[in-house]
Amino acid sequence: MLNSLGMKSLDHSSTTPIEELGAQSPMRVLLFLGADVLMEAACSIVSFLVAYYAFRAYRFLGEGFFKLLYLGFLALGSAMLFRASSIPVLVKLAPPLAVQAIKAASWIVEGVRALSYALFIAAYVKRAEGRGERALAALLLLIVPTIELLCVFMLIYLVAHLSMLLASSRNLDLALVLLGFACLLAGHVLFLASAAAPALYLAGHLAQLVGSAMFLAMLVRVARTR
Amino acid sequence: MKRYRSRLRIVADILSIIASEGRAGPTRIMYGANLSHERLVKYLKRLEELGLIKSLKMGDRTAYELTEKGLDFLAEFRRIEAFSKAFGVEV
Repeated sequence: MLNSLGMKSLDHSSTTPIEELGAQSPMRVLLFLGADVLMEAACSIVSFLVAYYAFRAYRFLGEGFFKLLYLGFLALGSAMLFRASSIPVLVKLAPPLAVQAIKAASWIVEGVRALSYALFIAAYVKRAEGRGERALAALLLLIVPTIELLCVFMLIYLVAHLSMLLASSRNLDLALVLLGFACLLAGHVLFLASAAAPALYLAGHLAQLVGSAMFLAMLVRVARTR
Repeated sequence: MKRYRSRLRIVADILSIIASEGRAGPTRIMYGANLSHERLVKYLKRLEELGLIKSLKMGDRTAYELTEKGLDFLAEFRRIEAFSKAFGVEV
């Protein structure tokens, strides 16, 4: 019943991290799920905080960039919160129903996450002056076969774009945002690699938690601006 | 390509100069915000109407200082500016 809860595993037919852990000890599965839920919930709170600030910036400046940023972080936080709150419910379902419910939840979470990254890219593409950058962003949607891999490619695009911005501005807050997205990227790569080693799945969550800490540090610095 | 200042940026520049001096005359604001006298007068009139600044008569001279609302506006602008820069966007 617990085995398919490794929702971020790319190949749903292969052995998932939780299935492997479950074979070793049920207690380890509970600890694994507990840590999974807590980290995801913490990340969702930070995403909502960033969304709140982006909304304030949108109301203040009226720029479309911040509207897309707000919607993106709102979607990201919602996906994380949905996942964190659905795990305790899904583990209580009977096995045949659980498999279907977990697959459906997995598609929702991955879909909304991909949507959030697409919104971030749309925000930057909207501000881009060159056609090349827009074409590259559009190409991303055409060449990538799976949602998880699409997330990785979109995050690579965001990290590359923010790196170029940082090279020209050398702003510490921007460096924190760049590290935040870089950690989200590392998290997705680790989720993909977790099919080979279950520990990488939790490491992926840890990477995302560190990424959220970076966003939180940026928000604290912004809130203290006078 | 030359980047033009937004109206919001100009308002923030005016308020920043007044805030840094505590109280500032039109000439100081004009040079600090890099505005023509004509544009400065329009901005000062509008900001006073909005309740962000208030004028004080000091003999034959006029000085401006920030109201509570002006201070709040400037603080919010600076926070939003820092947030924008964190995402690589100049306000």
